[in-house]
Amino acid sequence: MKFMDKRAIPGRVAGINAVVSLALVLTVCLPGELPAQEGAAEIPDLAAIWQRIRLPRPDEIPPDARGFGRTGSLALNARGIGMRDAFDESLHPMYDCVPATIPQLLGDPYNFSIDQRTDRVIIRFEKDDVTRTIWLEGHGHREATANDYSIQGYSTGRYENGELVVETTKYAFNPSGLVERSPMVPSSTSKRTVERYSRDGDGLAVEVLVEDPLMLTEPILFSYVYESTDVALIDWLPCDPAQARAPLRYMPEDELKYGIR
Amino acid sequence: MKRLFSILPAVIVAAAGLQFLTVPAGAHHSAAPFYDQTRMVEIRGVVTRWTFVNPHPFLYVDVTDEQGQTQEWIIEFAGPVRLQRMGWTAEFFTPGETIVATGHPPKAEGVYGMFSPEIVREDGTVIPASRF
Repeated sequence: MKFMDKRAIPGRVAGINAVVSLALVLTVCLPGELPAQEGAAEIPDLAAIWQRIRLPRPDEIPPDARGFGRTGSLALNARGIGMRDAFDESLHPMYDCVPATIPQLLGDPYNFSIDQRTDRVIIRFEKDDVTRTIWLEGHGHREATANDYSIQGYSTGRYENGELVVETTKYAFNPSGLVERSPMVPSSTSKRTVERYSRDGDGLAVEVLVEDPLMLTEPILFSYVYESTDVALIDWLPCDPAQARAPLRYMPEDELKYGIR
Repeated sequence: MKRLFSILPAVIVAAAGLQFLTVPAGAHHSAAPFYDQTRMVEIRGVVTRWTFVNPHPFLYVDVTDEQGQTQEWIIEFAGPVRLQRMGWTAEFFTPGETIVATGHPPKAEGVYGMFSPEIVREDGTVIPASRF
């Protein structure tokens, strides 16, 4: 490696300045570095650490609200019903320390941070130590490919009417991908989620539309509200798979469904 | 978007043909499939191990009965993140200390466990039960 002789710099200042200036101009003007949309006012300030606000109690849910807090009333198609009935609790990925996905990541009482960068948004969850990258449209990021199937899928995003809209596809098959609580409902590789993040006063509102035509006859809409907190995210301790599976011994075998007999 | 956390949107959304779903504040897993929440048991024993890891910390306790037989009980607690916020650490329990735990036993027969019990230390300090 060759080091630059500082004494040579004065003679080159003008040239270097010109190069630096050109680089700065290019940095600002290149498509990959342009703001995704014109009008910064349309970009909501979501950057903070967020914590869940409580959900309504069962007695606050109107009895005629179909699907509201009642997983048994999900609009599952025949395949979805079959999958739900075939997958016992012990097949839940969490017993192998597999992280939760959307929407469960947003529903559990763990905090998360949002980091809004020029060309991407990074959401870091306390739960399961999950970090998601949302690739903002208009910055030259590649499209999702068939090799992108994964637990968290592939997420792209855009700012729209003061909301951050995140679309995620390429989710891997997940035994608890639609409903994680017993009776859990798997999600297929056709699962697609659309998250909408917006400011609600000092708070954060998130709606998640979950589609999975292989399992559902109609989409599910989840909603959550959060408040900001000054408390730093807590680092996730290691997950011990043996310990994760230990409680399964406490479940009577005669309460298992036919899935794993 | 001041529309969330209100009951009305649920009705509107349901009427629009979508399903509007909220999920209970959860954790790694529900206690219901594993622990009999209609029964309570109390044990007195000596801590042998405290594993403060995810997804749930476990406290291992040796309980000796009147015949002198020792049985290991495994006590499961809520997720470490929540407990850390309450000040719990990897040193929260010490091997050798005696505790009394009162909580729900497993549903299955022939196994010895408990979830998120109230614990009383030897000095009388009470550690309240924490929900999953």
